[in-house]
Amino acid sequence: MSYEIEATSKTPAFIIYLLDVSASMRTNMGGKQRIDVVADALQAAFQQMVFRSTKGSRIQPRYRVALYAYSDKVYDVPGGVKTIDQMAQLGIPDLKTLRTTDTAEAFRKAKKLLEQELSQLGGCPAPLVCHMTDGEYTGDDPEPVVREIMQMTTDDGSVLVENIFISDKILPQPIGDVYRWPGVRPKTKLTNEYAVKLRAISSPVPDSYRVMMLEMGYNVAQDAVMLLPGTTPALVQMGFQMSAATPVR
Amino acid sequence: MIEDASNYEAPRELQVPQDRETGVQELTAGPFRLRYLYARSSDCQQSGDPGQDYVALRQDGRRLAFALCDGVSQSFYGDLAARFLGDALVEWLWHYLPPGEFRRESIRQPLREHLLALTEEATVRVRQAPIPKDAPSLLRDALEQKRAIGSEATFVCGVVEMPGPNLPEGRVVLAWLGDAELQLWGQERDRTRELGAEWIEARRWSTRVGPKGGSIGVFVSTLQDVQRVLAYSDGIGSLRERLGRGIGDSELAREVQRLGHMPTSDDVSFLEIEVLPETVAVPIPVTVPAPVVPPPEPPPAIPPRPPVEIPPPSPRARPWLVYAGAVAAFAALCLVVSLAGAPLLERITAPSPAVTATLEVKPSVIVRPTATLPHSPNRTPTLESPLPTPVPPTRMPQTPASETPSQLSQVPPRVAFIEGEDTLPEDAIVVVGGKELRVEEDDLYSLRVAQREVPKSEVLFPYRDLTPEVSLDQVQWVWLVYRPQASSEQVVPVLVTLIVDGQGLPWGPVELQEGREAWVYGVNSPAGLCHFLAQDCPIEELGVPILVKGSWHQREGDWKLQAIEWYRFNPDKKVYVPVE
Repeated sequence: MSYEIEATSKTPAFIIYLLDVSASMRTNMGGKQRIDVVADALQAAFQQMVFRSTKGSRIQPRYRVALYAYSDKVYDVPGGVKTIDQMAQLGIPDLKTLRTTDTAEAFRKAKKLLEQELSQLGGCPAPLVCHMTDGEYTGDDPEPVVREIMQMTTDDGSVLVENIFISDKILPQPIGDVYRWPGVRPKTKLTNEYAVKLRAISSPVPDSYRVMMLEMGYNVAQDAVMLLPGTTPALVQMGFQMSAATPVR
Repeated sequence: MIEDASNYEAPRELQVPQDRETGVQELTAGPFRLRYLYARSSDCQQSGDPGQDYVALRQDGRRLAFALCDGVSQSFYGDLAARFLGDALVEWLWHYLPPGEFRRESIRQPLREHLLALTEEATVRVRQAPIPKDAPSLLRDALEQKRAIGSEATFVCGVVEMPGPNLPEGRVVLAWLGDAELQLWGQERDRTRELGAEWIEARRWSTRVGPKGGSIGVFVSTLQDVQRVLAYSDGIGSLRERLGRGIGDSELAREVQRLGHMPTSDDVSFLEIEVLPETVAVPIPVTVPAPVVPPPEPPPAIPPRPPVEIPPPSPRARPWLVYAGAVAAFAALCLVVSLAGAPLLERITAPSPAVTATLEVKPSVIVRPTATLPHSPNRTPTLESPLPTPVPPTRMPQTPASETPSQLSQVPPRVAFIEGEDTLPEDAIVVVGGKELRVEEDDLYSLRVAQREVPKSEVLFPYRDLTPEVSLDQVQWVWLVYRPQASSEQVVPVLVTLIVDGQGLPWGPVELQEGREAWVYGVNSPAGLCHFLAQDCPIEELGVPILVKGSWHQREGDWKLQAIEWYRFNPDKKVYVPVE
């Protein structure tokens, strides 16, 4: 249960992205729509995965990725689980905004996929569900299903859940330098109730992830949790970078 | 050193191919019995890509030089660095290893300089390496990022020299950098601890910056009680104890196959050099005094490939009488051995089927007298790297004519990331750095100053938005060079050197003065130069060379460079352009 298993082409990391594409994602953020900021951050995360998976001139399938965009429905964007070399061929999908925010349904979809996959993940790094949203859910409360997901275990540890919450009102003070920011910790003051709820359903940052983040120049504290307040594009990018911080051979 | 090589066969080279598996091979070459193998990772075998380990050696029946390199897969085409470095190491060991030298530092320093000098040619190779035309954009971007980092490899290498007129007890020289490993065995004991080695992955040779992450390890000894030298990559490191105790060919092949089926399968390379005991046990009955051999000419930055035969050391470089005496002594030695009916030298023989294990796929031994560089499939002269070749700005200040010349023998000094004051080269003054940057109280950053006379002295800089625990690999900024001091007084910078793509462009030396302007160069990184200089750094892009004009100011005893103008490199125009 140490999150130390390295991703290899025989034991790839498995990441499920749940991306909120509700109408509010059209809101401006740093001169761009939030949805475009997310697309850029996703691209950067995929670039990082490709970087870590490339040996010689070839991408080794060290990551497997599922990508769901959700609003009132859940959409399987690439059409099933894809290896990172397949994702590189497909390119970054075009994300379009829709209407509502049925977060619970998105997590239910992730849980179902994990149930299908879990028996095949022996010897692999623990899977990670990376959820990005910019507002409160409009359907069921997602917390029960997220807690069920967090109780699913593999040889490497329980399934990890990361939340990237795009909002202006999460922390009392703006974050100056993202590279010096220690992350959201259990006692970090949050000024938004939904952020408090999301912290409760965010996994602690495993040490191995933290080391990778340090190598990338971030200064994540030992007791930080996988909740990223997406107040700036840089923080959104940090969140997606964290999702791909599985140790790699 | 053998004084007269004409009695021997031409040197023989062996370069184990990277594009296929080589089962356990066993050869005898004069007094050396060699065993080696090579297996690519399962990923590479499935995709048909070359392995990123590399093994090369050269021998002439009295002397054997070898290198085993492990390319870093997270770097740009790690096989490229491994191959280039392996060949260059063998070349250096063969031609430029200081003869008769037993002091570690006297070998470490020229080797380090050579590894630095190699970056020029290696960088060209990296720039020319093509990226597959059909690579998707994400892969192309990743490869270009890696190209910017350069190609990297860890290495172990060494030379075994049999006793001769100038080396009555022979010599073994071993060197290493990284997590490829060596073992040294005597007749009945493991002597590896005598190396004092640490096999640390972060220590590497880079095509861009040369040695990085730590100092090069060096071990020198006579051949007394040296029976075996083992070299192997981390892909087979889990078997280190069994390798040391001695593992049979078939068992070794089985283990390598087993490792290939593991999820963590990595490239595997292994080389064992056994110094045959009968050769070592007979002392050389020669009592001529060792000649005073002048050091060889320093190797050029791009060492020329040798001709078909390696010429013996030039007799003109030595006192004639001593040379003649050595030749005579050696002839006498050969006569003794010949009369004893034991051929001193054996040519490299093809491996016997009996000792070739099942791993072998294709004929894999390249034995050739020439030293031509293997042609990389990754090379093409047509592809230009997107990496900028930084050029000095047109507004670069000139060296003030009135300044006192630097005491350094080489301006700018060859400086690089090093650890610990005990690793300082002979003429080094200081290098700012250390494994980590530490935040001190009162918003000051403490940068370690490594200096021979002032170990652990520190210089404080005002705090800027730097991240603690940032690796120095990410940080490239101006080199601050300090005057040697005999006491632990405050260290005052005296020379600021502009480093451009590994090449130094000094604009000093100057005594730092209040208000004196300075140019600093660096590659912008998350915790790099830009952040160091100003919180409101106007350049957001990472990985681009930037240039900053500033002026030095002393605040409460600490020097601070106040940024005045910012420039970023424009790769299209190959000039620095101002940033507002």
